[in-house]
Amino acid sequence: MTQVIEPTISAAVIALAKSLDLMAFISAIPEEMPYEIPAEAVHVSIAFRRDTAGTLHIIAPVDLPRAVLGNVLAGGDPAACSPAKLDDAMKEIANIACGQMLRSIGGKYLLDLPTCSHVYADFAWKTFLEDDQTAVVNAEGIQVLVRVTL
Amino acid sequence: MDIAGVKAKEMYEAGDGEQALKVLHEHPVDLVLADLHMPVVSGTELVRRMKADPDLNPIPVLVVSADPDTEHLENLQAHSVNGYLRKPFTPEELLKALQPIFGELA
Amino acid sequence: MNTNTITVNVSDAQISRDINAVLITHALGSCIGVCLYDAALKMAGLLHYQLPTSELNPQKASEQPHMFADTGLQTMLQNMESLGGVGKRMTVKLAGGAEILNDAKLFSIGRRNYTAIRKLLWQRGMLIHKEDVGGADPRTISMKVEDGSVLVKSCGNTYSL
Repeated sequence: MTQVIEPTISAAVIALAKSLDLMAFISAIPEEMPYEIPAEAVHVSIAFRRDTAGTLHIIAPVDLPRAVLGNVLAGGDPAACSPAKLDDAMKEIANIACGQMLRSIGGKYLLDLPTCSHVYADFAWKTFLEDDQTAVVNAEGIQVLVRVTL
Repeated sequence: MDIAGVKAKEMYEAGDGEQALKVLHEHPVDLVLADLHMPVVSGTELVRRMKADPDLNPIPVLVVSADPDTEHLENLQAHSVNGYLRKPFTPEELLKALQPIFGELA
Repeated sequence: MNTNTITVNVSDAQISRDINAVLITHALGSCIGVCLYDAALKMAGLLHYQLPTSELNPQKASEQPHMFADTGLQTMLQNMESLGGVGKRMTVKLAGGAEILNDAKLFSIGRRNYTAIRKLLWQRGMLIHKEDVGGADPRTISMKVEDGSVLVKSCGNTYSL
C-alpha cells in the first residue's frame, strides 16, 4: 500500500517561499526577529482533498499582495490596484503555494477555490499561533502567517 | 506590455470562464491564457465551449494551473489545448511555452 | 591577435567594445555575475555584485554601487545605454548565486541575490537567456566582447553558457 505523506508546516513554508520567489520575485525566509503584528490583515484559505483532506491558511497584511502586484506588473502602479485585485492576488498566492506544497509531498489531490476575508490581525495572529501548526515567514519585511490544518 | 522586444498589443482580463467567453465574442485575440480553476465556468469548461464554437475554435489556448496533478493537463494538451504551464513559472518559461504557438520569440 | 583581458573585481563592473577583449570575473560564490551583450554594437558589460539590495546599506551603495544588484545593474546599464546600448535587445546571462555551506537553499544569500536580479531584469523588460546559478561551488566566468560568448569554469570543468 502506498504510504500517504501528510503535508507539514515546513512543507507549506517552503512552498510559499518558492512560490513568492518564482512568480513574484519576493525573497521569503522564516521569521526569527521580533516584529509588530499589523492592525489588519487578509486571511485566505484553500482546501485540498483526496489522499488527505486539509486546508492551507495564509494571513498577511495587504502589503503582501501589493508587493506581489508591484513586482509582477513591472511598471504598473500597485497603489492603483483595487481591493478586489489585491484579494485576487492573495488568493493566487495561496493557490500556487498549496499546489506547490502538495506537489512536493506527492500523491493525488484536488484543490478547491480559495476564499478570502479581511480580519483583525491581532486576534487571528494569537489564535493561529496557539499551536505548532503555524509558522511566521518574513517576506521582505512583511510578516506572513502560514498554517496547515488536516 | 513589452518584454525583450516581444510586444503584447492588448490584454484583456476575465475573472471567470463566463466573462472570458463574453470577452472573446467582443474582441479578436491571438491567444487565451486560462487558469483551470475558475469560478462560475472553469477553465476546462471554457476550453470545451471554445472548441465547440466555430468562431473561437481556432484560437490557441495555453492553460495554467497550480494543480499538483498533471494528468488532466496532459489530457487537455493531447486533445484540445496548445500547451500548459504549471504554476509557479518564470517569464522565460512562459515565453518558451508560447514559442510553438507563435514561432521564435525574443 | 592579442587578447586583452579585463578583470572585473568583486563589487565591480566593466564595459568594453574592444573586440579583442575578454571580460573575466573570479570567485563567484553567493555573488552573481551579470553578462549583458548588445550584439548590434558588439558591446559587453559584466557586473559582479555581492548583495541583493542597496536598502541594506544606502551609504555603501552611493560609494560602491556595484556591490548591490539594484544599483549595480542600474549603473552598468546606464553606462551601456549612454554608449548607445539598448537594454531590451541585450542578451542576458547569469552565473553564481551558490549556496553557502549549511545555509538552507531557498533562504541563502545566493538565492536572494538571484531573486533580486530576476526582478530587476523583469522590471526592465529584459529576459534571462541563459543562466548557471545555485549549487554549492564557486564559479569563474569570462565573456568575449567579439561575440558575447560566455564560458563558465567551476570545479575544474569549463563549459559554455
